[in-house]
Amino acid sequence: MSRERILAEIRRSLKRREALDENVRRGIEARNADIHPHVQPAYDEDLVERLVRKHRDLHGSVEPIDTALHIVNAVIAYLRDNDLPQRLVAADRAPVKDLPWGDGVTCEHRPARGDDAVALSVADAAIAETGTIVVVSSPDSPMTHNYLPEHHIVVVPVSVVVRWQEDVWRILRKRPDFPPRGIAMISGPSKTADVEQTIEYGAHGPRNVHLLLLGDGQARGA
Amino acid sequence: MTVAQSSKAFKVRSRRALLDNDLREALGRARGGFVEQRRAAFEALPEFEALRDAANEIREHTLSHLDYYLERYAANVEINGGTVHWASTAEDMNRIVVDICRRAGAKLVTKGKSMVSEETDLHHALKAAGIERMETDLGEYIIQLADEPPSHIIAPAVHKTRAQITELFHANHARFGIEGRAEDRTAIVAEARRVLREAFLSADVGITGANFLIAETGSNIIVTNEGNGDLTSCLPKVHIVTAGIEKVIPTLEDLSVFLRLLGRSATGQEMSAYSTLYSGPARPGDSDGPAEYHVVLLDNGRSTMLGNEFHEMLRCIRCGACLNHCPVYSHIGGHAYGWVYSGPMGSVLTPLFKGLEESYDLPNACTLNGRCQEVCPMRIPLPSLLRRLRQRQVEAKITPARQRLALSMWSRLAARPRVYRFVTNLSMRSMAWLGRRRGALRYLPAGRGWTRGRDMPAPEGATFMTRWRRRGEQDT
Amino acid sequence: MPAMFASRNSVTWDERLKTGFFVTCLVDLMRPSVGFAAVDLLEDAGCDVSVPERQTCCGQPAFNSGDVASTLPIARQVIEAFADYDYVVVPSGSCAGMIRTHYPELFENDFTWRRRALDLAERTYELTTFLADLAGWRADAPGGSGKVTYHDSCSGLRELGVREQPRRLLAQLENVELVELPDSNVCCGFGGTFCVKYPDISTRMVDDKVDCVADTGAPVLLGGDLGCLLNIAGRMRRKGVKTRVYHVAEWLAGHHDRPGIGDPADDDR
Repeated sequence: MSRERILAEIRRSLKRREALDENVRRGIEARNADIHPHVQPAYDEDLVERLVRKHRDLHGSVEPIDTALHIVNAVIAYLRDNDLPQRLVAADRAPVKDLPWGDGVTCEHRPARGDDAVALSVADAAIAETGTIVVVSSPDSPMTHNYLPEHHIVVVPVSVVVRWQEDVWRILRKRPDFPPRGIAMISGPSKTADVEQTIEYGAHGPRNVHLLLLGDGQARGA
Repeated sequence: MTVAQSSKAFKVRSRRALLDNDLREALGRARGGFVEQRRAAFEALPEFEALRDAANEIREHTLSHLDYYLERYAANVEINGGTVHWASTAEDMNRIVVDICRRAGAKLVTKGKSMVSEETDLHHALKAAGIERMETDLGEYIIQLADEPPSHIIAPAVHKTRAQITELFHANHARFGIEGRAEDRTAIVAEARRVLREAFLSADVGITGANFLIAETGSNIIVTNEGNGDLTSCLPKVHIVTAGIEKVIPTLEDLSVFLRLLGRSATGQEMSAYSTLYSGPARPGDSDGPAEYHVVLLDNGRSTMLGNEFHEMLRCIRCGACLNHCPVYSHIGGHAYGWVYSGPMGSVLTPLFKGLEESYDLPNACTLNGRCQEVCPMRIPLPSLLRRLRQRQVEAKITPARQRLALSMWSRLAARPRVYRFVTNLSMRSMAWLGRRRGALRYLPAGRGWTRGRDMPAPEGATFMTRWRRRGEQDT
Repeated sequence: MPAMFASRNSVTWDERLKTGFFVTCLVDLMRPSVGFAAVDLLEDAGCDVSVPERQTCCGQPAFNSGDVASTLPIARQVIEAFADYDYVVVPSGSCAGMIRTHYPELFENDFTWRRRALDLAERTYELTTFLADLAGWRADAPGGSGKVTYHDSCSGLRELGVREQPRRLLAQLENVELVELPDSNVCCGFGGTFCVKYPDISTRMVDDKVDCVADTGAPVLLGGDLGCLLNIAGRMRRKGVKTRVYHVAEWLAGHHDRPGIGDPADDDR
């Protein structure tokens, strides 16, 4: 079998006859059980301010809203401002689950299709370090929402903003579905520099990632 | 391997590349951008050296227990509901992938960028099996249309100008009902989006590479800017991940160290737009995601490399920084190297994969200036590895006899100071006489390589050692 | 680093440190003036300079070509020739790098020679590093004048960290204005046997360098490695570019009136 052949060749190269002896194995297990970040870039900027700044640097947009009740109006305004049809797909989870969309707008809770223009997601975390939004896949949060539509609107409760990437791992490890099937770390819209080494947005995925920063409308302004 | 792809024709191809003005324009633009952006990114990161230290420590730890981590990783993939396949050789990998595609009844596969699949030449295996492949990274798609290998591991079509892309699209997109020419960048990207979207939605199998494999969770991570890797991973009913066995790392905390280095080293980005971890097929209740998740672990000589003097190369994270900073690469481009890996990292890997003789020029076409090692996030001693390959070539007597003879004569002379003194003094005085008018010689019978492009400044006459002795005699 | 011993400008030494000068094959053969300039500088700095008879080449051409067997006898010869000096000074970053970095590697499996190689490595310095960091060299004459630019040779820069030292030394020459060379840390295309084996690529690389020198507007190019300077000067002569090229030691020692590298010996330029 290839598996045995490869492992045997590795051991030969490492000048070991067998699998690891018990002491070494325990040492490795201890290393990996001792969970701690290695090296993290230091910064003392306010987390939410940094998240907003970094996300905008990445060519994304941000809109602070006070409460979940404002999501509907913010989304409708976004659709209108961008000349988009009044329809979207959304995650099937709070706070975007049972929103009062009204008559004009169609919101469906299903995976995205090729012709969906807008998806509405909820961030499981947001990393201030790099302006990265984290969306974890689940039955209520299809992965296709992140990549297929041209516009990705993501509700980011300020409570999920963390300092560093490793904080996400710490939070996810506590979930019963760990490791989830998909962990999407999204840093701005889809882009490519394959033509003339010059950036074009909206390569295959969203042209824009619009954050609705929830629960922070007054404090930091837009 | 076709002649056009062999590394033997390096001299011919590099000469042709030097005469290609389109290529020069493209490479010039790429060089400036990548180098400047990387510099800016690391200037803003005081922790750069500490991250490099950590990354190296993690990689060395993992490599020295590689059997443990691979088994650990494989066990966790299975727990997640995925299947792990082990491929000793390129042929093994291609067979495994084709078998999975056949079982899935695949007619069309979408592919994310994967250097491993370039390495095994999976494309031809799929073609032979009658399976259509669409590359989905825009750069890879462009070179697929051009029927060329990638010329850069990060920017596969870096050598193509906009006008060339416009013509390629025009020649190939009529079948999608697209008539006009996409002239500007935005139009080109929009046209690619339109064409590839169809492929994403109708593909039966998606094949991606992996930037890392995480043993702790049994996940693969794929880092892209376009999101094409994610559409390839999420949409088809079967997802196949192909990865070299050296890609495994222990934990998510370890991953964070590499992610902080990868984007910055490659393109100067703190994070690429999409870094996504995938752990197995769709779960109960999931409304999207593949029904099958396969990982093919490729050895193809890596396990042997682990035990020899080239093991440092296994630390490579394929960021492309060494290419971007290589003065030779930036003049001749990737295709001159003759295989899928180019630049300094390719000059080490290609001879190891393809043979020392086949790739004779690659380790030699380097000035050992060391800029690649300086920028390598994994501090791989690329110049030393290239020198070790030269050593193997000398030992195997692959190095041309004339060169070996010249060197051994020089060395023997240098080991006999008195004879050396006499011979060199005489030759320098003759050369000085010949060059006295111009101050430089236009032609050297024994140094045509030198005088092909430059003069040889004339020596001053008697050697330093001769003059020094004379001075000593006068003093006493 | 503070000056470890004073130059003649300040203190006279009863017992001056014995300094062995390794002239390097290129300086020995092609441009002895660099050697004499370097010796002058070292003596200025208060060193007791000797030039051992048994030196020839450091073995780099064979080593970089992968011919370890031919390198070993040359390395042993250098190690023996310079065994008795407090310091060994080399007017070349690449040859100093060979001794400091690669000699110990060569004898990895030979305990005795490895120890000797390490001992030599510790005592060996590239010229400008030695003058600036250890000897505390001070200019006692104005030296050359006008605009100059400087090429950082790769081995010195990356194996030994030579960058600020030549600049600090040149800053002491009152009438010299150093204009930084764009891409001064990019290889000039010399690379030892590389430039002979791959002349077309090498020529393109050196053309970039020649263009960068032209961009500075400086009429003089200085550097610390004769290999690179021969390459650049050779290309300039072929193209008819009139920039004058010197080893930095020549300018520091006030030998700037002599013809540059590749210039005619008389004054008919």
